[in-house]
Amino acid sequence: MSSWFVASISPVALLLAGLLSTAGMVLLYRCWRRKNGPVWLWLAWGIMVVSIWPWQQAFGFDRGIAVAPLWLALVAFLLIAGGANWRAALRPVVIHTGRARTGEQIPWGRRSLRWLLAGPLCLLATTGLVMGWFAQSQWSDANRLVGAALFLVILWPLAIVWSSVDPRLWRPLLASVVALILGGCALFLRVGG
Amino acid sequence: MAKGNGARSAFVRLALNGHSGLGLTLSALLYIVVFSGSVAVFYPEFERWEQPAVPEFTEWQPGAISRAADAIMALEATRTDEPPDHLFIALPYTDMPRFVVHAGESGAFVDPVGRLGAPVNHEWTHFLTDLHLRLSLPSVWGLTLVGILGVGLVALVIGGILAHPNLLKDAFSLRWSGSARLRLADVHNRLGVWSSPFALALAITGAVIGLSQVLGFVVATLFFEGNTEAATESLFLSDPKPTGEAAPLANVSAALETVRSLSPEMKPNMIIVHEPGTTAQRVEVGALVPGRLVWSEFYALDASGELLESAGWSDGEPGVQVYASMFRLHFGHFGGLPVQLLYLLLGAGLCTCVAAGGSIWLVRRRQRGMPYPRLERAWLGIVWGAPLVLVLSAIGWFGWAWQPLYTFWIGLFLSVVIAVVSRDRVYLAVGLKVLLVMAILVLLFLHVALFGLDAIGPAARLINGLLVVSLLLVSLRLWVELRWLIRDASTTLSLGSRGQAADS
Repeated sequence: MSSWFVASISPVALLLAGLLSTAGMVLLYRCWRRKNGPVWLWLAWGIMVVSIWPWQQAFGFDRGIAVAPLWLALVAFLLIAGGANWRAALRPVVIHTGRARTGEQIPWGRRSLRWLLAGPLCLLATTGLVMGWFAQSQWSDANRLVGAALFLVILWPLAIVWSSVDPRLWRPLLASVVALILGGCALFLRVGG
Repeated sequence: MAKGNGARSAFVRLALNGHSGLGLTLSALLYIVVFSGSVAVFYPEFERWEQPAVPEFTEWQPGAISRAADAIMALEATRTDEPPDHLFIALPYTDMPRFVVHAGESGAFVDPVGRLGAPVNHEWTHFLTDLHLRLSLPSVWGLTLVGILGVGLVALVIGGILAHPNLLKDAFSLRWSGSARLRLADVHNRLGVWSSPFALALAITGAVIGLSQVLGFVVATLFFEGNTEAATESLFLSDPKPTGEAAPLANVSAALETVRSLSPEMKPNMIIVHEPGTTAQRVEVGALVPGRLVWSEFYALDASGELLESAGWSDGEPGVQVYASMFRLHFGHFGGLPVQLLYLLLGAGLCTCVAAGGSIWLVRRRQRGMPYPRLERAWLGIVWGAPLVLVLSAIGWFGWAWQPLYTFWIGLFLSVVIAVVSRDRVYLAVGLKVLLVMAILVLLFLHVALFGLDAIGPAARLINGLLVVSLLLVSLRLWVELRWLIRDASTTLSLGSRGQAADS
């Protein structure tokens, strides 16, 4: 039985989208193999960006955007698989245990502090900031609610990455405190004020 | 210039450390969520596979819906005096050609005339979706934990890209001839980079779905005097207040006709009657929207089938439409079988990426002279144990009605314990794959034995076909590893006994 979701797809646009996306990715692959100049590289990326339009014609605006990267990923994996030396893959690899090195060990206290910052503290700070925005935003309830959810699940990971990368822990810590104060003030002005 | 390069490499090192630390913290649970999610893409097909003998059709006779609704309400009334909160009717269409009715605890399939048939029994599929959505934990706790894992996956994708200085230079490299760490790193990086838009889309939508209850609670507490329903009423149609006064059941057929005449291009596929058989009852009709990602459009109608309002999921405010689009984007249910297969492939790639990520860290520890042999084996116990115990949970359910929840979690625990106490990592890896191949074979035979020709009928052939494909793929991998063992037995074993391990 054919799918109801496929029935509305335009086959001509689908073919064009598939061909354009594949051509863009193949061009990118050739640039990578032959170390071609930046013009070809930009052309490859350009074709892939342009191919989003026929994807949208085939599937519809939002479904098209969702399908395009899936197809590109599939073509990229096929090209990678096609270029790999599979004969070598059949050979076993023995992992040698190296000599013990007295490497630089991060103290447990500092490591725990970093995770405390990246986890609960960043969650608190980003939630505070997002709730502050929610309180002050003039958007409708639905837009604020969904906007707040999206901000939270994007801001918190960014804060996690910053906290886990920055060698000076005080910087993300300070940013978290500032975000919390800002969010708290915005919230207080709306709810408490 | 040199200083700039030094600063850059220091940043990359820090980014890599952060990425490794976060990945290691989340790896086991993230792997289970990603793996179960990749399988759960086919949950409607698994439901059909669990009961392949149920009649399938897409057209039904006039009056069948009302007859089925009356029949299931009568059946529920024989079970309890309490009126059900909801009456749910799933209408058959090409992607799910089964007519189902539910009222309270009673659920049954319906024939094209409207007569009740076999009871609905999708215990294993429910376990699978619960495993992915909540890691089998109680609702809010599990959803929140999985939501946090989604946030972690977003951070891992961003951190991984930051930690990858040669993103374009290595865009298509897969160096099988290199060292074990290089092999694993290439697999991890290529899969990670090219599937990053897919991973981000899944992680963000998963995090929003998972954290929505907690976020709704926070918003309700701060802005709506603790009333969660008021906080979220802009996204959903509200439920009527129960009156408890009996009334004839709402005219669901009339409600369906109203929606059909309002939006002929849409495909109504579900009817929900809130507070059925009471004066408070209200009908909700869900209709698929062609060419859109939104889950459905929902219409609220009164008991006589007159339109009251629509939820605006397809044409309402941007926030409502974005929210309504998250589910199909997350589940991969917006382009039929081709998109589901792409989700399965990329999901398997994401599983491999997580598995390889953990292995890279373990190999690096070993090469630095600080191996964790027990952890190496435990990781194998999770990576290959999870698919094994998932198949065993299906065998246990079909064969002896064992609760899949217990089979899976007890099985996974045992898999890790056995892995930790086992002596040889290479034999462990091969042993787990042999068991997986055997388990898939047993499941296939069991399905055929139980359902006969229905096991290769339209309701079950996709899942059984995918089982055969996975059987072939695992067998291929097993054959490669057995070849290593047989050809290089002496080398591998002697190296293994000296504290070295073959990469498997």
